Amino acid sequence: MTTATAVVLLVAAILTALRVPAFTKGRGRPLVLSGLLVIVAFVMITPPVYNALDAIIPGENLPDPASKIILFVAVVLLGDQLAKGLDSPRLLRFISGLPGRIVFAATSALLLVLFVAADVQTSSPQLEIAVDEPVVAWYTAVTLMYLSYLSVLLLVAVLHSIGHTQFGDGREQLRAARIDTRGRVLMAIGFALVPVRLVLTPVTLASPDTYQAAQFVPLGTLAFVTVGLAFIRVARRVARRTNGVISFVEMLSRNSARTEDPWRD
Amino acid sequence: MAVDARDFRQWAATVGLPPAVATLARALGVSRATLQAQFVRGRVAEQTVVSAARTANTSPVQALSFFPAYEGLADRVTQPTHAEVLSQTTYVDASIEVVERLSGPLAGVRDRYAEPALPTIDGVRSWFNAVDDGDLRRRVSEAAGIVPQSLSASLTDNKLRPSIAILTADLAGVSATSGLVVTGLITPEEGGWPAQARKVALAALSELDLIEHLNQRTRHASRVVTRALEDQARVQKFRDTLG
Repeated sequence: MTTATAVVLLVAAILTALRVPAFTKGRGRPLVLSGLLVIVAFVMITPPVYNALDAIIPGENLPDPASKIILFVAVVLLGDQLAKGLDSPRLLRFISGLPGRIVFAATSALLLVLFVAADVQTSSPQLEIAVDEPVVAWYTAVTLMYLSYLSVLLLVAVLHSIGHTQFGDGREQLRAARIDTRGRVLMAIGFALVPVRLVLTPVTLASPDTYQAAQFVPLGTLAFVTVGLAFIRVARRVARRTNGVISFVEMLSRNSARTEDPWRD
Repeated sequence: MAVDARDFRQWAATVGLPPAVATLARALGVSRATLQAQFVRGRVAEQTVVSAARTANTSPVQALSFFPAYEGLADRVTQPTHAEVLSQTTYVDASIEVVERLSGPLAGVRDRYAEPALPTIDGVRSWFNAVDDGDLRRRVSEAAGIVPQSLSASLTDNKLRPSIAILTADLAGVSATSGLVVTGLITPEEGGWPAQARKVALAALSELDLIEHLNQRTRHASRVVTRALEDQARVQKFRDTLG
């Protein structure tokens, strides 16, 4: 495990652990589950863990498709929550609704078929040892295609929502809106990195030396998305410090206060 | 469009403001970094000119007129129209006028009520609509060299750049400073509006006109609050789901 991987996984683990108190109260459970599954998926493909699992589980390299399907489930869970948070039934349909489930099932089935067809007999995380074989290349590409499908949907939805984080004129509400916006921007960057990794696939095939470097891109996604979610969590806390009552008269007086001190915002 | 920093330094010297950035910033009540950044860019914001003019006890309109971009501004100040002034009133102002007319123990409420500072909620768009002869958006966009959508977005944000605010007023044939007043860059008094202009304008309305105005402003306030509540629900749902 590289230092970068360890740091990102540690940050993700801490941020997920911070959500556990809310989890015990029944709030944000899918997100905690999603965070745990992502961490499990990433840890599973680190060489020591992978080799240990591969030694226990019958058959060769089975932890790899398992880790990929676990990652799919984690992203679907996150996407489902994002779609619900953004109140977007259309997004929800394409992620966890019937069309979304069909794409998930088809991709998982195709992934398993390609895995069996590849028949890599040497234990190797992400079947890296045979990455130049066409079947393995397709196996990797299918994984990235599905993750890109989800990420592009989420990217578009989050980008559309970036300008709509403010509802009150209060100082804390404005602060919360700024933090919220930053969180959404970070998540958008994270989602945007997934199709970038897909586009890099032909490059990694043409020049296998670049494969390891390209593997940092998903790590970037994990870092940006988990930190972005943490920002949203902070924004929620900041906004809760005010009573959040919407009043026209209150808005008028806030407007006046800002006019008297134009440098405030 | 901000003013040239060299012109600003020249003007500041004429009104006796300190030349050093730190001293000037302290006098204006702004951070040194803000002012320094404007000098480094070579463009000083109109807001700074207005603050500086107030500090130097000079009229902000006269101060802006010193700069080539706003030349002759002070000469184009006239009385605001009745429609312009009314566009800056809310349902609260109109309600105060209604209560005032009830007389009896409530009499005098108008005098005790302080007119809220501008810009008022959605005031910039209301002013634009009040001076619009039907074709103003297109004419302003063309003259300013901006796309109409950009102008509309600006009005939705309740903002208008000073140069565009003046251009709009000039094209609409109203007092050149009205746009600066409604955007809150200068106070109504600084912009040549009569004292308590909004209260006077409301007091001059017939009962029927006041009822219609109140009706229109109440519907506006209702839209504003409804929209704010919808925004609140949407943002809170997002934060509650993901936070």
